[in-house]
Order: sequence, then C-alpha cells, then structure tokens
Amino acid sequence: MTVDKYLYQKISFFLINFMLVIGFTGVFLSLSGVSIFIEWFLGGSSMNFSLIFLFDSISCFFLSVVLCISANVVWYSKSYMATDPNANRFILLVVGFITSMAILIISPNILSILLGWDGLGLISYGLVIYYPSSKSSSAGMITVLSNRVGDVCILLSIGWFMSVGDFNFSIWALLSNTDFSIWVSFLVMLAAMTKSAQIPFSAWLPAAMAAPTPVSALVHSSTLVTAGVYLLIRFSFILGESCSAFLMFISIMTMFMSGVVAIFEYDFKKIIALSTLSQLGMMMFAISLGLFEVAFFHLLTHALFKALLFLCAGILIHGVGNTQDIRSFGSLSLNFPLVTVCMNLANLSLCGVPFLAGFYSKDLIVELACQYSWGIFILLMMFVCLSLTVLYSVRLTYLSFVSAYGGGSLVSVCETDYSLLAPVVILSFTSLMSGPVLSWLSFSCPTLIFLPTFLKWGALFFVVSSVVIMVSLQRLVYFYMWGTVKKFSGLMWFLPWLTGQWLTLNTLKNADQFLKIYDQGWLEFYSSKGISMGANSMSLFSLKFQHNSLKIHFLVFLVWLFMCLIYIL
Amino acid sequence: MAYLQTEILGHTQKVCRLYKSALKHVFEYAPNRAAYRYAAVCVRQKFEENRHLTDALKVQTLIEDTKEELFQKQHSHPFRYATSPGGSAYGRELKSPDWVLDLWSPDEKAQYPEYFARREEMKKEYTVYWEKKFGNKAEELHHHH
Repeated sequence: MTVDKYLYQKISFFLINFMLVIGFTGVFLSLSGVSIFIEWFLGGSSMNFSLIFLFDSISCFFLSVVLCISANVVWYSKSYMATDPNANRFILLVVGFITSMAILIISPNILSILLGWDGLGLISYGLVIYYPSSKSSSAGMITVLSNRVGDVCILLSIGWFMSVGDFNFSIWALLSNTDFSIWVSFLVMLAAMTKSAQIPFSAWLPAAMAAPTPVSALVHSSTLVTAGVYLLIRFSFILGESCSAFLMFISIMTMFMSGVVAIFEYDFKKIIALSTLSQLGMMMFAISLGLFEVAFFHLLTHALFKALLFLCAGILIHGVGNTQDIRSFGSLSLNFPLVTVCMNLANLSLCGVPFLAGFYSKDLIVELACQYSWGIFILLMMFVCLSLTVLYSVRLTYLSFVSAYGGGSLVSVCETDYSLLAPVVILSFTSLMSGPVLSWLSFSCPTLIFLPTFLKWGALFFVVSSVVIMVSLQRLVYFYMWGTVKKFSGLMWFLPWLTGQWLTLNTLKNADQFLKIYDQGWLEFYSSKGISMGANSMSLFSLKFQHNSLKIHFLVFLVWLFMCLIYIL
Repeated sequence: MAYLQTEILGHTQKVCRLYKSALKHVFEYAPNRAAYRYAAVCVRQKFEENRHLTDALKVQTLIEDTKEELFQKQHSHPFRYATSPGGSAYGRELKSPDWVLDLWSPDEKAQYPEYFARREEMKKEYTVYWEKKFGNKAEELHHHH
C-alpha cells in the first residue's frame, strides 16, 4: 500500500513534463548545433571543485527517451504492483534509478559518469532482488558482480585520465590526433562490455529477468544496458583500431549466441532479454565500424520498442497467471487484441520491417556495414544474426498469439485495466514515430549508400525467408528435433556456468589453498607467530640469567640503556 | 538407486508416477495442444499394451528402462507452474515467523496494544494446554534433582 494514492500518477506526470522540456531543448540544440555546460564552482586558490552538467543534442535526446519510458513504466507500475506489499520500496528504487541514469547522461567527465554508473549498478541490484526468492537473490548477485567488474575498469581508467590531464570527454573529442594507450581503451571497452552484457559477461541479463516486469522494461531493456553503449559513444575518441576489431568480434559473437539461444528458450521474458542482448551486439557492432551516430540512433529506437515489448509481455504474463513459460501461452490474440497489435508492432520494428522504427536504424547499420566491407565472414555473420532475430521474434509471436492455448483457467485472460493499456498505447505511438522523427533530427543530410542490388535487397530477403522458415518449422511436430543443439543452447552455451560456478569454484579452491598454506601456514610461521615466538624464547633465555629477580632485570635494563647512550654519544 | 529411499511405493503408485512423468515429458516437448493430445494418447496406448504383464521382473525392468529413457531425453527447460518450486513466481511472498513479533520494541508494540495483549493471553493459554497434554518436563527434571 503506497503512502499517497496518486503517487505514481504524480511521478509519471512530472517525468512527462520534464521529458517534454528536455526533448524540445534537444531539438533546439540539435538544430542550432549548440551545447550547454552548466557549472557549479566551489573553491578559490589551491583547491577547486566543480560540478558540470552537459546538455547537448545527444544527452537531451537520450534523456528525453529515458524519461518517456520511465514515465510510462511508472504509470504501468501503479496497476502492476498494486497488490504488492512493498510497493513503496519499489517506487523509491525506480526513482533512484532514473536519477542515476540522468546523472550518467548529463555528465561531461568520467568522474561524474562513475557516480551515475555505480548508482545504476547498485540500484539495479536492489531492483533485481526485489522479490525475496532464492532465484532473485542469485540473479541479483550475478548482476551486481558482473557490473562491479565494469566499475573497477572505470576506476582504473579514471586513474589513467588523471595522468593525461583531463577527465572531460568533450575536450578530448575536439582534438584530432589523440593517441591513447591501448590499456585505457581496453578498460573503457571492458566497462562498456560488462554493462551491455557482451560475451563473456552475458550471463546476468537473462538471469535478471527474475525482477518484476516494469523493472525489466525500464532497466534491462533500455537504460542500464545501454549505458555501456552510451559510454563508448561518448568516449569514441579512445577506441583504436585493435580495440575496434576486438569489439567487432565480441559483438558478432554476442549477436550470434543470443540469437541461437533465444530460438530454443521457453521463458517469455528471457526470450525478450536475449533479443535485447542481440540488439546490444548490433549497437556494439556499429560502434566497432565507427558508426557512432547510427549506433546512438539505434539505441534510442531500440529503447522505445523494447520497453513496449516488455510492457506487453507483462500484461500477458499477468493475464495467464504469472507464468512466464511460453508453453502456457497461445491464442492470446483473441483475448488481448490491443496488446497483440502493440506487441506485433514492436516485434516488426525489431525485425526491421520497412518504415517502422527498427528499419530506419537497423537497416542503416546493415547497409553501411555492407558498404564498408570488412570481409565476407563479417557480412555473412551479420545477415545470419539478422535472420536469427526474425526467427525468434516470429517464434515468440506464433507461440503467444497463433498456436492453441496451453494454459489453465481463462478467467483473468482479458485486457481491462487501462492503467496497463494506456502506457502501452502511448509507447506504441512513440515507437512508431521515433524512427522517422529521430532520423530527421539526427541526420541533417541523408546518407548516400551505393550498394549492388543483391546487397541492397539482402536484409529484406533474409527477413522474409526467416519468417517463412519459422512459420513452417512451427507446424512440424517432431519432438526430439535439434536435441543436442537445444540442450546446448538451453544452457546458454554454458556461459552462466563458466562465468559463474566454474570460475568462482576454481578461484575459491585456489584461495582456500592460499589461505591454508600461506596465510595461515608459512606466513604465520615466519612473520607474526615466528617473531612472537622468537621474542618469547629470547625473553625466557634472559630470564634464566636473571633468576626471576626483578632487581637483576632492572639492572640489566640500566646496563643496556647505558650502552645505548655511549653508542649515541 | 543413487538416492536414499524414504518411502515404500506400491506397484500401482510406481506406474501412476511413471505415467504422469511421461505425460509431463510429452507436454514439455509438444509444440501445441493438439500435438500434446496425440502424444498423450500414444503414451497411454503404450501403457495399455503392457497392462496384462504379470512377470514381476519384466515389469520392473520395463519401469526402470522407461525411467532411464525419460532421464536421458529430459527437456532442457522443464515445465514448472509459476508458484511451484522452480517456477518463475515461486517464493515472492515473504512470510515472517511468529516469534519475530516478540522482537518488536515496546514503542512499536504500543501501536497495537489490543493485539499484543491478546497475544500474551494466547501464549499463556497455549502453555497451559501444552502442560496439560504433555506434562511439565522442566518441573519433573527439577524434582528428580
């Protein structure tokens, strides 16, 4: 039970207003090419503290998208979390999260980015462990520890920036020939990889689906996971050729792995989480190609339709009795017509169907990648990952809306709650308009792309053929098809086990050896215990000569003092 | 068996449990309800074919072989109901044990005076009921000494 009956509505209304202000400011800044620095300065002669906020087109657009999604998610949460006894804790955590994200977005230097970055990690842990189940606590632990690796990398890179003189990325971006050490590039890239769940840090994102669905919509689809991409976009000057090549390899692997695993996954929210992982890989892929503006554009459009996808998923999950297993879904288009429309819109955007949001951003990345031609393998893998995206999206749609109903009672399987539906509808419209509008705002002149016909039509061909393949496969009834691949993918290529139990078990075993043999063994023998035993035996030896007499003891002490004085003088 | 047997199962129980496991198995694999229904009918037919068997060794071997087959072909994502152990919504409600109320501070207890007054009375009533039913072991031990 919340303190104020209209608390959620008030917060949502405030966020919407703030979003409108920031959004229009962003449009103005984009058209005028101006950036605003707001600085608070404290100090005088020797010690100077300053707090700076940067408002440019990038930060304003990103902040307005985040605020739009946050406002809709808070409004949605009013009904979704209505029966939860800890709703106060929930809304406080969400507001704290939005604040941290805002700090991260408007920070012009890596020090204040760290404030937002750490805040995001900590609050996302609090949100993932919201429910007191063992699954949530394990998920929270893997989330916070994976994010902690990134925090350490940022801290190390701060030390490096201190040595080169300036923390502000806007200053470094102005310089044409910046020659940074490969270590700081690697550190910043590693931090981005942990936050954006790239391989080998991908295990936490599907596990974090233990959190409530509004948390997944806000945190794990559009804000927290995109912080890594945002960091790399801001620190684009730092990525050298070798780091870009490494990032390309990692991003392609992440896209491929998440696409394959999503096809064989049965948890509704985990499929969407793996879809997020795949799109994050796409953004990182664009960054590795040097397409920072396009990656940012895809970040914004993806945030909107992915949040929409999660909100629709929440309504469906709520309706079929809180089960997330896709085998309990089916024929839901009859009971949830509006949600079906919105979810299909989001899915088609995700697939890159022409003239929806995803088409503008994703197709641009694909065509520019074809134009830059990094090699046949990269191109082939990119098209394969495109197909995988379509395959799992079509599977999700088919099993949820087309196939026969596999659940239990049909009592609550209906859409009547307008608090849940209104944010979904608003996000649908926003997502629909975001593609063309953001492309007009982000790219003042159209990008000229010259490609052979087969490459130009390649993306569309792969999308259509993947739809046909998946619809045909769904009609096949062969129980043990893809048995080994299913088991391998079902365990996410053993990545959670490799980066979780295996790594920690071996590390703990080695740590145990170190503790027993060195720390509690030889080090004790030679240092602490050894010194004390030596001092003890020496004092016992001297006591023998003193015959336990206090007079002789003091006399010996005086003799020693006298000899020291002679030596000194 | 690799596990400790904690209950003695009759033959009917064993067969019924195996049948239910088989149905769950085919439900996990079935792409839709119609396919599940068909597979369930096939599973039932297999069980009916072996209904007449009287040789205990053959029956036990059949049961063990089927269990082994189900184990080898188990699904990578076993189906669990949402609020069952292993399900997505399991363990979301945190029920505090009753003794936590005794740890409340006096000013917290003062917010609910009637409830805590009645609680103290109920504790005394419960102690009287317990001693009446089971005797007062503490007093008996004390008397012995």
